[in-house]
Amino acid sequence: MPNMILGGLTFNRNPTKMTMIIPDKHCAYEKTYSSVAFFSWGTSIVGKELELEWTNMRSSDFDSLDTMFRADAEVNFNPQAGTGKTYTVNIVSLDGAYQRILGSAVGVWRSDVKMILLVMAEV
Amino acid sequence: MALQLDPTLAWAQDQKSRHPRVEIKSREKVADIPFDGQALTLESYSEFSPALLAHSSGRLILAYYYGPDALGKGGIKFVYTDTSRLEFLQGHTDQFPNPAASYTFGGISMCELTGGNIGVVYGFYIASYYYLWRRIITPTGVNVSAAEIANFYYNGNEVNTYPTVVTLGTNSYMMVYLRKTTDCLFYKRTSSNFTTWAAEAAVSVGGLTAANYKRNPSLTKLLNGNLWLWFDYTETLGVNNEELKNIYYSVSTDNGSTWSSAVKVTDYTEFTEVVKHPVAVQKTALEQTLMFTRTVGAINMNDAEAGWPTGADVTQICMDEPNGVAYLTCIFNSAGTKYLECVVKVKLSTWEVLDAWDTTTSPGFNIAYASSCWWHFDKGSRYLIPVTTNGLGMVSVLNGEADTITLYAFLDQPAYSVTKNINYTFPHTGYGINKTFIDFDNKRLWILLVSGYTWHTGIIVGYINLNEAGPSYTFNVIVNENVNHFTESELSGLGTAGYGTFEVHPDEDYIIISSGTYVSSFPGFLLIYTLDGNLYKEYKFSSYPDFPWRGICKFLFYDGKIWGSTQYQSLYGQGDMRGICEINIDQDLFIMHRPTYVAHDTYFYQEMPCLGTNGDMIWPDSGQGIAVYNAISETWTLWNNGNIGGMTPGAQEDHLCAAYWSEGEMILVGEGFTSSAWNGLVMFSVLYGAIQQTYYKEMYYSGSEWVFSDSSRMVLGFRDDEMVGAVDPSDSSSLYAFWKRKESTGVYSIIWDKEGSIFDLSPYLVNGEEVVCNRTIEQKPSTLSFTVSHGHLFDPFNPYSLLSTILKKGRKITLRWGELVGVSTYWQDGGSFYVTQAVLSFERGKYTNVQVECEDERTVWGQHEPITTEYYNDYPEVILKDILKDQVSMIEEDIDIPEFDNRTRIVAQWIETPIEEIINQICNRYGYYFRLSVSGKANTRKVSVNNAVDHVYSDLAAIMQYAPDDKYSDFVNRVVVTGQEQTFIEVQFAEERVKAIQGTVGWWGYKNDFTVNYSEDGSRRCIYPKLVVIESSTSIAFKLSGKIQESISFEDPAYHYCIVTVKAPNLTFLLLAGVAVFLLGSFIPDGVTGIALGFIASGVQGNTIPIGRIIEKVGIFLCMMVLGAVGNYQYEVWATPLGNVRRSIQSQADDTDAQATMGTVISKKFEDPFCYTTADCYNVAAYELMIAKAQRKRLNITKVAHLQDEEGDTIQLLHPYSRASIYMFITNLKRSMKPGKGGHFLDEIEGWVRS
Repeated sequence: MPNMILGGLTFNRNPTKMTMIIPDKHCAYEKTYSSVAFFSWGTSIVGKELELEWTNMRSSDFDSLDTMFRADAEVNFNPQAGTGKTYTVNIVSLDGAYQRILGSAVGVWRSDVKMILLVMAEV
Repeated sequence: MALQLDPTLAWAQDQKSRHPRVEIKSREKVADIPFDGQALTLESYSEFSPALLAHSSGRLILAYYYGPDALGKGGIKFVYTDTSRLEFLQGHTDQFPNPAASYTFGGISMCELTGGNIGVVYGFYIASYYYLWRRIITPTGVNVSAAEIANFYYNGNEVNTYPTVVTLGTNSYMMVYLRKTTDCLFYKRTSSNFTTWAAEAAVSVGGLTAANYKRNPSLTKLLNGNLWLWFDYTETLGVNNEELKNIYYSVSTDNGSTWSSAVKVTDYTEFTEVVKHPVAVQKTALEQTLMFTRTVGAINMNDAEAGWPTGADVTQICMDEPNGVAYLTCIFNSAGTKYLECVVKVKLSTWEVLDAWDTTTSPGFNIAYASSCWWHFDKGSRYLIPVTTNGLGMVSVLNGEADTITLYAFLDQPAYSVTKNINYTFPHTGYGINKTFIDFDNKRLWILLVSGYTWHTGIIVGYINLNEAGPSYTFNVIVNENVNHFTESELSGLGTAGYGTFEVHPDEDYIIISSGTYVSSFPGFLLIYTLDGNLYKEYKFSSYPDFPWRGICKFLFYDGKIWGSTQYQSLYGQGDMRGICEINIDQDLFIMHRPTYVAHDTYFYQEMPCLGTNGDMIWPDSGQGIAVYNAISETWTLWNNGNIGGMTPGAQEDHLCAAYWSEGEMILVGEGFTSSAWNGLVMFSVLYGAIQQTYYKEMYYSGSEWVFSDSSRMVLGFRDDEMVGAVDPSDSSSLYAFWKRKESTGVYSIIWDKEGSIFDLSPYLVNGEEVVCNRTIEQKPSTLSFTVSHGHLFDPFNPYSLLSTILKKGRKITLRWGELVGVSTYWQDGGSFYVTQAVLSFERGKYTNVQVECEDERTVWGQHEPITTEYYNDYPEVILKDILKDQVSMIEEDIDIPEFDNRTRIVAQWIETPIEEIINQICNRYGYYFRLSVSGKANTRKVSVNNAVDHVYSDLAAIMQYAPDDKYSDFVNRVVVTGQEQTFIEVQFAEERVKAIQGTVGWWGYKNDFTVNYSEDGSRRCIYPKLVVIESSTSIAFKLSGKIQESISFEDPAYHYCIVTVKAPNLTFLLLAGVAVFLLGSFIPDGVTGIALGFIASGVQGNTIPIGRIIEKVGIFLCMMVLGAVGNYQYEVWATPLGNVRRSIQSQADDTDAQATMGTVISKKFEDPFCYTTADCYNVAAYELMIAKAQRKRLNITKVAHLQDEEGDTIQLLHPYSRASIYMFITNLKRSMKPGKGGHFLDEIEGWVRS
C-alpha cells in the first residue's frame, strides 16, 4: 500500500496506528414505559477526528507537518486506504518527542508522534 | 382541528426507529426587491464604479475605484469571496501614483480568463490623456500583471474610454469602448492572452446617429453565445444641451464581427428624466434582468398614481416619520365651493400610495365634506389627521394607522345625518371652528373657535381628548375671550381674509394664535396663552411698535422663538420691514429677515412651511420656488426649476405646502393652486442633488423574441447608481447586486444585496444542542430557539461576512420538522418566527456559536403602539378578522378563524389598547385562544376539556414520563360573572345643588330671569328643581309695597334648565312722595298754641308747634325708608339629576361536587364587559369554572415526539399503572430535538385531564 499523503507531504512511513476512516453514526435512544425509541440522524465522516500515531518519524517529515500545522489552513488528505477517497482536513493537533539515541544527531528522528486530523469534507 | 400529516410521515411517527430531521431557514420579512442593501466597508472615503464577476470556482470577484483616502490616494480595490460565498476577503489594491484628485476614473470591467485568472480592463483620465489599461489578477486577488493598452490625447472633444470586456471562448477576449471626436463610435479590441491586444476597430451599430453621445457600454454573453452590447444613447439635445436619453442594445451572433441595429428598450421623453448605465444579467436561457439608473431632479405623483382617488390639490402634508409615511390632505382649490378631495397615505421609501380616504371609502368622511371644506385650517401630527368642514361645526380625525375616522360635531346637521356629539354649545351663533391642531403625545385635538361677528367678537380654545370613548365627547375649554377683546378687522387675519396660524406646544406651555391678513388696512396680532388659559403675550402694533402691523401669517416655532411670515405695511414707520419676523418671546424683540433671492415687499409665505434640519426653515414661495432660510447662518437659498431640473411638471412654481422627511433627507412639496396645470406631490433633495434610483426590467424569451417587463424599483433609496449584478452560482433564480450610494457625508459607498435571500441554516445547527419550539394556549407568542455554528459569519456586526444579515433581529425564520423514510424526507411545517435575539461572544480558544431566540409574529404586534379601533357591533370572528387585516396587514388567505360557539354580537370600541389585548379579550369571552398556526395562519381554537379526541395513544410505547401536577390550581368552586345590559334605562340620582345665584335689589325696582343650566355645557338633565333662599332682602318699604318675588318661573320640558325670576317693586314713587312731603313741610311755619295756625301775632305768647318740620321729618323718614330698601339676595337651585345607566346582570357556575367535598363555597368574581345577558354571564362563568376545575387535574407527560400533536389538541392515552384511558387537553407543548449522541426528539406536554 502506498504511503499516505497530507497536503504536499508523502510520508516516509505510514502511521503505526490510525483511526479507521469510517463514518460516525449520530444516534441516541430513550427507554419508554413499554418500549424504546431509537433516533438516528444518519452517518457522516464530516466532523470525525482521525488520530494518527508514529512510533518514530523522520524529523524532515515532522518539520513538514509542523509547517502545515502552523499554516493553519485546510489541507487535502489521501489515506491511500484503497477506497480512492480523499478528504479535506484540518490538523487539530500535532505533538511528539525528540528521539535522542547514542550516535544520532538531535534533529534526525522524532518519536511518539501523534497527530489529530478533523475531517472537514470528503472530496 | 388536528393536523393532517402526510400518510408516510404519519406512519413514521409511530415507529420505534425514528430518523427525525429539522429544517430552519432564514429569509427577509418582506420581498427582497426592492433592495435596501448594506455597505461593503465602513470606509469614510468614496468607493464607486463597481465591477462584478461570478467566477467558475464559486467565488464572487469585485473591483471598484476608491479615493481620495486620508492620504489623498486612490486606485482600484479587489475583493473576493470564498468559494461558498460566505465572506468578503480583501485582494490586491492598485494604488495609482498621483493624488486621486488628479484622476477622473472611468469604468472597470472583468472577465474570467482561460485557466481561471481574472482579466480586468479599466479607464481613467489624467493630464490631458485618457488611458486604457488591462490587469490580470488571480481569483484570490493576487496581482499578476498590468499594462497600458492605449491612450488618447484630449483635444477638446470628449473621449470616453469606459471599457467593457467579455470572454468569447478559450483564450479569446474582446473589449468594447467608446470614443467621441466628431462622431461618437464604438471600438473593439481582441486578445488571445489578455496581454497583447489587437488594434482597435470600429464597431458598426445601425439605427443610431453617429454624432450623438453613447455612454456606459456593457457587454453580456448569453448562454447561446450571442453577445449583447448595452448602452445609453442621447437621442436629442435640448436648448441648454440637456440630453434626452434612453437605453438601447445591439446583438452580435458572430462573436462581435457584426452587430444588429440598435434596439430601444426604454421610452423616456423628457429631458428632465435621464436613464443611464444599463447592465444585464442572464439568469437562465429564457430570462435576463436589465438594471439601469434613472435620474431626475425630483419625483412626483398625483391622482394618476394607483390608489390615489380623484383630486390632487395637496394643501396639507403631515409627516409620520417613524413609519416613513406622509399623509396628504387634498382639498379642491379652484374657484367655487371648496370640498375635500381625499386624504392620501404615501410610503416615501417606496414612493407608493398605501391607502386613501374620501367620502366614498369605508371608513370614509361624512358626505358633508363633499361640498364643504376649508383648506388651511388643520394641522395633523403623525398619523392623526384632522379635517374641518367649512361652517358646519364638524371636524373629523383620521387615524391612518388604525384606519378609523372619528367625527366630532358641535352642531346638529340633519342634512348630513350628523348629530351633535360634543358636549359644548357655542356662546352664540357667530362662532365656528377656525383651526385645529393635533397634540399627538397627549392625544388631544385642539380646536380654535372664533367669532368675527362685529358686535360680539371672541376666541375660544379648547381640546377634545382623543382617547375619550364616544359616542359623546367633552370639549375642555382652556381659553375663553368671549368679551369683544378683539376687533372684527383683527380677527379677519384668522378667517377667510387671512393666513393666521394656531399651534399648541405643551412642552413650552404655549398656545399660539397668530392673525395676519392680506387686507392692508387690517391689523394683526400674535397671542400666546399658557395651557391653563392665561394670556402670556399679546403682540400688537399698538403695544409693540416693532411688531408687524399686519400681524403674523404662518409661523414656525424654533429655538424657543417664533419665526413668522408677514405682509408688507408701508405706513406706521414699518416701510423697511419685509420678510420673516423673528420674535424673541423672552425679550419681546422683533427682528426682520428679508430674503436675498428676490426683492419683494411681500413674500408669498402664506402657506404651510416646515422645519428642516440644523436650523433650516422651508417656506413655499409661490411664484418663486421653495425658499430655505437657515436660522444659524442667516442665509437664504431658493430651490426651483432653475436649479433642480424637472422639479415640478411644467416647471411651475405654484407651491402650496412643504414638509421635510428627515430620514430620507428630502423636501416634500404640495402643488395645489388654482392656476396650476399640474397638482400633486413633489419630492426632491437639496442635500444630494438629483434623485438617482436604480430600476430593472425582467426580460423573458418567448421562443422568438425577448419580451421586456415594465420598469420597477430595484433599490429603495434615492441616491443609488452604477448597479452591477451576477447570478448566484448555486441558484440561477437569484442574483447578487452591487452599486454605489451617495452617503449623507457626501462620499460614495459600495452597497450590496442579494435576491433570493432564503438561507438554509440547517447545516449550521450544532450537534448536541437542542432545537426547541414552545407553543401554548396562554395567549403568548410561540417560541423557537436553536444554536448554529460559524458565529463569526453570522455576527450581524461583521461587515465582511455575506451571512451577517441572516440572523439580524427581525429576520423571518421558518421551521419544519421531518422524518427520513427510506431516501426521502417528509416534512411538516413547524411555524414561522422572527429573530428576537442572537447571542454570541468571541473568546480566544473557543469556537463561537450563535444562540438564536425567536418568537412568532405576535412579538411584533406586542410592540405596536396601542390602537384605537372603529366602533364595532358585530360577531367576534368578524371583529378579529377586521383587526387583523387593518392593524397587522394580514390578508384574507392567511386568516382561518371559525365561527365561535355561543357567539353574540360585541358592541365595543377599543381606545389606546394593545392589539394582542383586544384579541385576547375577544377570545377569552367565548372560551377560545388565538394562535398563529404552524403554517402561519391566524387561527382560533376552543379551550375545553370536552373537545373531541384528536389522537389516540393505544399503548405506552411512546410515553416516557407521567406526572400529575396541580400546583397552578386553587379551591375555587364557584365563579360569578357580572356584565351590563346593552340598553340604557333612565334613573334619578340624589338631589344636589346645581347652581348658586346672588345679587342685589333696591328701591329702583328689579326684575331678572336667571337661566340655570344644570351643567356648563347644557347637556345634563334634572327634574324637580327647587329654589332655596339663603338670603333675601327685606325692608318695610318692600313689605309695604308688595314684597320681593323670588321663584322658579319656568322649567325646561327637556329638563336641561330652569329659569329663576327675582322681582322687587319699584319704590321711586314713594321716594318722590317723601320728597314732596319734605318740601311741603318746609313751607309750613311753626304754629303756636292758641294762635291761629301759621301766624304769630306780635306780643302774643304760646307754645310753638313745628308743624312744618314735623311734616318735613315725615317726608325725610319716608325717603330714608325708601332709600334704605337695598339689599342682597342669595339663592341656591337644587334639583334631581337624571341619568342613563345600564343595568348590571350576573350569573354563576357552581362546582357542586367540590362544594360538597369541601363543605364551603369559594367564589371568584369578575366582570366581563362583553356579557350583555345572564346567559352570556353564565357561559363565561361556566368556562372559567371549567378552567378552575381543569387546573386541579393538570398533568405533565413526556413522550416521543409526534408531529401530529399540537397545543389545543386532545389526546387519549393510558394511565401507566391502571391502563385506564385518560383524555388530555394539551395546554403547552415543548418540542425539542437534540441531534447526536445522547440526543432525543421529544414532546414535553402540559395539559388538563377530562374529569
